[in-house]
Amino acid sequence: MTITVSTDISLIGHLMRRAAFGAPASELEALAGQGYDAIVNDLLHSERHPRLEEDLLERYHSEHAGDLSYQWTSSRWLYRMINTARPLEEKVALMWHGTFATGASKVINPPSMNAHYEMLRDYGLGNFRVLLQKLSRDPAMLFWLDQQTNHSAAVNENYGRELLELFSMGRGNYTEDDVRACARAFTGWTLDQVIPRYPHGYYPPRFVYREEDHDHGLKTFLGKTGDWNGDDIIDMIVEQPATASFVARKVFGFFVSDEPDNAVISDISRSFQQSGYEIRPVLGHLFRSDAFKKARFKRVKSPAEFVAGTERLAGAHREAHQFGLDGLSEATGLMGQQLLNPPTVEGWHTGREWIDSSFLVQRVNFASDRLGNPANPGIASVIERIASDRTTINPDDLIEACLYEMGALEAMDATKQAIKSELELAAPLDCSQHGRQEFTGITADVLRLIASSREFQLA
Amino acid sequence: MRAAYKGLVKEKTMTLAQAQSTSGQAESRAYPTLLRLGHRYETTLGQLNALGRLRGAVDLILGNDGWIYVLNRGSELPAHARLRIVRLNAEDQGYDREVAPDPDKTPAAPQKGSLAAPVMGVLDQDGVFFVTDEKASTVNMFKSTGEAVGWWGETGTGPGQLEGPAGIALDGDGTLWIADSRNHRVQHFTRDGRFLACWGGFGSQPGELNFPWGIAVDPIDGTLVVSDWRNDRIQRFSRDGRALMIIGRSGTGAGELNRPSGVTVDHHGDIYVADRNNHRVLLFNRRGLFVETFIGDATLNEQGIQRLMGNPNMLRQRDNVSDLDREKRFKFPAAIKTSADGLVFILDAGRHRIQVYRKLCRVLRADEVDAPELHLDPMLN
Repeated sequence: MTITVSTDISLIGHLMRRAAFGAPASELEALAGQGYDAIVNDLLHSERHPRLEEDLLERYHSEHAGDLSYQWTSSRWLYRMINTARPLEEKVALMWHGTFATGASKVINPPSMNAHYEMLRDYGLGNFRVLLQKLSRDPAMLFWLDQQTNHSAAVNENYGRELLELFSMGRGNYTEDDVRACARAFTGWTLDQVIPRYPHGYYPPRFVYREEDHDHGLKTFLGKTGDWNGDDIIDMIVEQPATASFVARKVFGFFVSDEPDNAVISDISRSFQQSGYEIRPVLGHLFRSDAFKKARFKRVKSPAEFVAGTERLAGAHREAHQFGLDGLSEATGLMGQQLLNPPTVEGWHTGREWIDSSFLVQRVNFASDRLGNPANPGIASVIERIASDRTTINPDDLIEACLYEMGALEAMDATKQAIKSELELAAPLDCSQHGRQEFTGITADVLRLIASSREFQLA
Repeated sequence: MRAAYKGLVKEKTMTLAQAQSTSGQAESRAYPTLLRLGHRYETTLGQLNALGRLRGAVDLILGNDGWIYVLNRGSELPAHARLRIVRLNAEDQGYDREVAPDPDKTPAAPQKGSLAAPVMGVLDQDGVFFVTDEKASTVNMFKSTGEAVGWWGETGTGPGQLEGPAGIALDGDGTLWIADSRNHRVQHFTRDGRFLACWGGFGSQPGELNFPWGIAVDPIDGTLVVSDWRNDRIQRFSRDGRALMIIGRSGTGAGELNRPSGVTVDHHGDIYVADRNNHRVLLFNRRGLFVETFIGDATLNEQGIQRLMGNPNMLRQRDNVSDLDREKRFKFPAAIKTSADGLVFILDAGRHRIQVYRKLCRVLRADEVDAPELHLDPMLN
């Protein structure tokens, strides 16, 4: 039987790769009954679903009770990406993590890195003004950009500069005087001294505002003069058209395509301003747009998306006690994205830069290992689904069926032909119980080769 | 055991040691049997780093050789040993060497006979540790030197098979009771792994269990006390599995529990529970009445002081800390053990240390109390 991929399933597969972390065909079919708009609504209003219960996860990883490593926070984050009923929340946190890049290489305090990521998750879908307010009070961010040394009598411009350049308006939309005024407005915004980690481990730092260390002098920022404090600056920043463009470019690059499209970016920017700087309606507008629906397989998956998506297809790490969760953060690191430890304040270089010879080998090895293993529950399920209503299948149909099961993937004819050649597939395959063992092995090999394909790298 | 902790039993003001000769009478007498004076914080053992560090600590065992053994679980990465046993000397707070199973044998995935995720352990009279592994679903045996001497455990749901064994308790007859966690039951084995009995089953009704964690044998009557982890309660069972008592319920208030882990019963029958996710330890009496809460009183020990004295930056930073009170408190206490000398050892897992308390009480003679029936009604006086 030839499987015909319906437009709806294919579109839902696209939505789930972008707004979530991918889904196998079995999940897409279950979603299809809701209709596209309802799925978008459900993704946007994730608060309707409870967050994951993590007591079992914490129990089976009780060695991390001391919260000693940001890698554990990364692995737990990946576990959430794989299992959460609120995938867009985690996805948006990932987007903002790449934007407000803060790293454990300097912030040597895992509890504060965890709090930083959870702040991005908790506020990432809300109002951008609130997000910047939270960001400016986040101890990890403040330490990352030296706010603890920004005093009224000795201004440190680091946070003020990056707030304008990398976190909102972008270079060319402000002057050096604005940077100075911004930094002065944030004097006194700092964190308290944590209890040193020796001898009994880490304590999370807390944000404090030191009125006595705040510069109350007049400051001129973007042409307005007053005794501005940090929140006044944020109010002025979010109203700038440049900020709307900045947010729109970030949203486009993360959810739509690696190649910019100015018309679509302008549309997102307008939507952002009309919404009163709310992220959720912007994404709703975007996901329903033709530009989004047409932009299939236009993005290279980031390592975190790649690992979480692959594990979802493999059906792995659905149980809290499964061994190997710690290895997931290591896996994304080897692919060039060590979560909670970006290389610089600029974050990661994305798109095609995710693919170099070393990273690609890691990606292919990881995915082919997971998807080519019929012992993984997701793969066993795929094999059963393909074999369930037939006794034989020809090679072309098997390849199409595997692509469909992996989330309605699309592959070039050359790729399909290469899989057939590599596995020397010609005659129909016996997928009855009699031939099931051989069929299982061949199907796993097809999945392994799909996982190695160019198409599987794209979302 | 007394000799083992002589550094901590120098104080002679407590009456508990005197009471030991009479404690055996406790089971036969009606309440009250104890005049409770409270618990006194004694000391803190262990630290995050340096030799003997407690990192990923999951359980502690009071050895009969004068040492406290702490099971430390490494991370899952293959490069990390999955079990380090650290010996602590309570007398001078120094550390002896680590007793570490061969890290080269650490598996990249759960394997029978090679530890993947140690949970809890007991020590038998022959000096052999029995350590549960909740991912390989085995019981592994080690000498105190770290040398592996065997393992047993078949994965599954049938009688005698294990799925995620957690708590383990040594019975007076030398057999082992195991909280077979993912099978939601308790199993009884000989030390060489021969199946004797099992009871329990998933649920929240009396006698049913939901991912049990710790288990202890009541030294007075041999009943079993089990941390019914996901039901947020403690259950007491007869040896043939009849539910005798339920202690606690979900919550954060007095006597309420939030995912209890380790549990132990001292020789008065008092039940100490690691109320793990409430970051505290609760004490219940034999009748299940809530008695007392411990939230942690840690102080810096000599190793901690040396660590800070060797690091001027941290010394200066510490002087600028607001609210050092936080440093005293428990973070995910995991396990508790009591000694015959009245010491209570609490593994403060999230803070890489053990906090030690002394139980203060006076055992009452029969002629010192009124007849129990006079106390049936609450009175104000």
